[in-house]
Amino acid sequence: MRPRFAAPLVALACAFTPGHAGAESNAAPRLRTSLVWIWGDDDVLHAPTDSEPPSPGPGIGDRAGYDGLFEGFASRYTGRENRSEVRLEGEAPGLLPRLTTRAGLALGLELGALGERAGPLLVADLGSFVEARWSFGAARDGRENAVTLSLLPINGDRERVGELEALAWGGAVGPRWESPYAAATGPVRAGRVELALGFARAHVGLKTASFLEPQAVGPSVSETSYGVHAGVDSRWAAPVAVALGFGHFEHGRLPGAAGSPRAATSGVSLRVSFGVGLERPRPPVAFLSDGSPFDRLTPPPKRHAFALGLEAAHLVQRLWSSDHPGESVLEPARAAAASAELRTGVLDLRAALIAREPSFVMRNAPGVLLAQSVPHDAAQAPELGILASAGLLLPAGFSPSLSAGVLWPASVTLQAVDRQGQVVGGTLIVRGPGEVEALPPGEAPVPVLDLRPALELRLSRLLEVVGWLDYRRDFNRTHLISTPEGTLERGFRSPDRLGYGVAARAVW
Amino acid sequence: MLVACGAPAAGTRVHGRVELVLLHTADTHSMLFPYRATVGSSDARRGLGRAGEVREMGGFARLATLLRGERARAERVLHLDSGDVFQGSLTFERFGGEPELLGFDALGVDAQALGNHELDRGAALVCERYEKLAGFPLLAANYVPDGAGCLLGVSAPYVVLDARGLRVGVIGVGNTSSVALLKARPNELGVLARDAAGAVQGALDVLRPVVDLVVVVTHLGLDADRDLVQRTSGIDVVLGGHQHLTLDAPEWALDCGGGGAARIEDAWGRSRACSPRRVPIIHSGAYAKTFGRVRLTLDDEPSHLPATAEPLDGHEVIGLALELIPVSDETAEAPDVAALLEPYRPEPLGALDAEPLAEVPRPLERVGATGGDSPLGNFSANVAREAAQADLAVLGASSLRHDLPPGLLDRDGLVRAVPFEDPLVSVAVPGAALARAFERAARSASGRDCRTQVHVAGALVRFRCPCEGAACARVFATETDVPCKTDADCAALGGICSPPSVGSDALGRCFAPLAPGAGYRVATTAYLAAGGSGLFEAIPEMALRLVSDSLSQALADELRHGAPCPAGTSFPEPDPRLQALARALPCLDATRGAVRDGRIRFEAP
Repeated sequence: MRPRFAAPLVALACAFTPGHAGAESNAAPRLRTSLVWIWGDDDVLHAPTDSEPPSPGPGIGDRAGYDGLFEGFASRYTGRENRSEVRLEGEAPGLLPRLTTRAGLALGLELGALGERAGPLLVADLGSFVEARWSFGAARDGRENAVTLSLLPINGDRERVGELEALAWGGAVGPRWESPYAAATGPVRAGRVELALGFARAHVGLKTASFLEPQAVGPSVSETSYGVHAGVDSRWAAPVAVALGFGHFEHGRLPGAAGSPRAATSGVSLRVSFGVGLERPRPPVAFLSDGSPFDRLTPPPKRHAFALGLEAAHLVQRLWSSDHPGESVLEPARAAAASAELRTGVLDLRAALIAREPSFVMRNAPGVLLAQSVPHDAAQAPELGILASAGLLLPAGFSPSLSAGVLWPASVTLQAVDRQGQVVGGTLIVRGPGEVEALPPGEAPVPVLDLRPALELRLSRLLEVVGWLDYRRDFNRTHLISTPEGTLERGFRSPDRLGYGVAARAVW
Repeated sequence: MLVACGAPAAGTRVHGRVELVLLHTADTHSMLFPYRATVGSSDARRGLGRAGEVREMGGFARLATLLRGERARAERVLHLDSGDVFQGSLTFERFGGEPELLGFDALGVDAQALGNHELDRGAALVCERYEKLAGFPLLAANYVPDGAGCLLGVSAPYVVLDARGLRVGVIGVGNTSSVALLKARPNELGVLARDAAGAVQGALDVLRPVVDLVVVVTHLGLDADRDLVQRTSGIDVVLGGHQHLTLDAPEWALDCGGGGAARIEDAWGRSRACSPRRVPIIHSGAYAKTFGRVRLTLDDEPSHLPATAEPLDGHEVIGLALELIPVSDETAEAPDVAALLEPYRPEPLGALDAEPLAEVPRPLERVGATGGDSPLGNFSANVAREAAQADLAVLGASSLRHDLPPGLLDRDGLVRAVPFEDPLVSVAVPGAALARAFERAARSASGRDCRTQVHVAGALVRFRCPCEGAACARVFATETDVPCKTDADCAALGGICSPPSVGSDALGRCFAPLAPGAGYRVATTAYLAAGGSGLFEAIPEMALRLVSDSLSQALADELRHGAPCPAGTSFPEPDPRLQALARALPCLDATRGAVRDGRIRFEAP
């Protein structure tokens, strides 16, 4: 397994980029670009009175209401986003013997604004880095032993623990509010040192960010919070791979008076994978590869291959106690996932299972009540999901597939019976960090079903296209409805949603 | 922030009788520094000075001294703010909200509702400022995401605060009436406003099982606060803002249907039974001139509560004492807050780099003594009309937020009085639409104690008050050459007589009625033109012609050109150097139209 960090990802991307001659010999700057074009409608069935349909109509580009079930399983991005990327990398031998220096500028661009010739161009850092690597010989299998120092001076929030997107913690690659560093007053900086030696690789990393901390008198003061993480993973050529990671991330203080306890997330993640002909299983939903066009997680499998992956995480987050006012508690949050892939001839079968406690689903932006633990009396149900897909790998890059999944959403039920015997309160569906939606009193969550046929076509080494249909049955979604009085009231959304889309992506 | 002293120990939830002090500020509108203003009779009653004198009032450094004193005196204290932190002084124009949030952070506010003026420069500024500078939660339970806006990333619907063992749920309610964008979809703010009662009831139902007390801090206005209480069950206290009202005593409203059905609709529109309770609504004024100190006596002991008390409501309010604390010039400034804000202080009047615009020999009121037109309103409308070369000007009364005190008027003082960065525009409006707009203005005035909600120029307006039906306004918008002394002289035209110009002995002119079939070019603000305050039917942006970046800019441009005050004028400046400056500056007085002339009057039905 490879840890999910920006610099190794870039190295990985280089290794899988056609025509790449290897990092050591390529001293010239290298520019790589991806461009995505999307057209579709994620909700063709919505009623005209729906004041917030996920997708008001067909259109080119991103639709704000799009939320693909299971698409955040292995990667924050599935290749279906209207995001283009530019990476500019350089490498030069060091002045000292066996020292190599590298640097990379990695930018994600939302180019829609350029097309409209209006509005700001949104640019996000995707892990720009500078790196110095000192080699000191080779392990028995020929791999180079080395010490690497990497610095992420622009956006270090991508440094985190865990590999699968659904189980990673301590940072975020997506929007800011998904990160425990969301309230930081400036950028998150990070650095890491990695030692690759023999059959193992170990790393230790540091993250820093500034947070406003209330003072007893006067305005809040921006103070630095520190986070450390470390891990060890195997790098042997055998079919089994293991990775173990730890982390302790402080991110400001819990909201409240001066001297409130530090907000912190600590924990451990373990991943084991087994593969024959395939390093590890690919996720069931992985259009146009999975994630960034340059972050292909695995090389193409052999004709007959099998892989199995298991990952688990146990973390604790410091929160205010809902049951003991003025006290903080360490709220546990656990999650596990398994995935498998079998390829035989042209048939490719993939499956994934996931189980996450509500507090893990909300990790990084915790608390159905802001920064508070889940009350002791509250009933909790974990998120459980199963997804499977079957695909055909036909000649000429032609690949039809069908995926189906069911997800029991995580929930927290805060309710009581009033003096008149009526149920007050309700169940809160927990969909992600900071994404909590209430059901009416007495209503329970219902499993979500998803069915998605897709057709992927690789036209060249440069251009690939995918088209899909997506049928979703979700009885838990609510939305606002325009009333005849002109106000907006909340009601259940129609459970059925049918969407379609076509995406073309060029990578060069 | 909460004061940490004495029992009970952390982790113990309090029961029985307890006291909680709520400190309430609202609509501070970038008034970070003390400002000069004429003390009104109600100001005098609240301890801001003697009626009629010009005194300094407000200022965050003084406010900090008073708030800290309150915190030191009580065991359980929360400071909650009802929003409209931004917009209202030159400080906001220059620094875009940075010192406002630094100031609130220094005051130790525990939570704040999102006001409409926070959104004046769009969502991005709010997100950037609150993300980087606010060490306190920003609340808006009635805003829901729509698109990829950042606003909901920096706000929350509610928060649970610990007041030494008392768990207080605080629900915030953002403004729904004054931000036209919130009703459009998609909109650049990335949020939609939903029905406040439904949103609050949803939050109440989540909070009630886990908190002892629920305080709703709103930026809705008093009428909407009443409606909110009536349509919900479980609120203990409402702290409101938006209309800059100062209630000397709390207004008590019945929740749970307002004493009628004893039923409410929950967040899902499902009806359910409830037991009505009296809920206090508190409005504590604006501009940091006063703040509210609400001493609550709470109890959850069943034997001390009425039999109808709902156990789910936790502690009930069994006693309340409201006091409005004046922030007067007799209060010492907190040195740390004064030092913190000093870099943002505008240049004092008379300083070398200050830019005085005019001399105001006598105070100019923004509200007419009889509820009709006012000196500042007339002057502003005249300037708007002339700048736009329009047939008439229609400005919202809420565009003017302060009277102009006598003395030197600089840009800062002008912006305090006319604060909003709201472009002045001109637009062609059919007479029929104009008539409907004045009908709406009449009904609005009728609901506000017969006080005009508009300022006009180029027209004479007669409002019936009270009036709820049709034909509440008579508008005369065509000036003729027919001279007149009284309305009887204009009877043939069906019109009325305008007053003669100030300083002349000329006759007035007859004004003919507004012609529904005619078209009028109207100078107004972009806010009103977009349907703000419900005056005009929303006018497409393409139809607007920009006249000036803001009304205050147009006024400043006009003020720079004018004659000094005539000889014999008594100047209020005590300093001889400032008096010399005052003599040389253009004069803002009745000769420039800053006078009541009866263009807007109220008539009995």
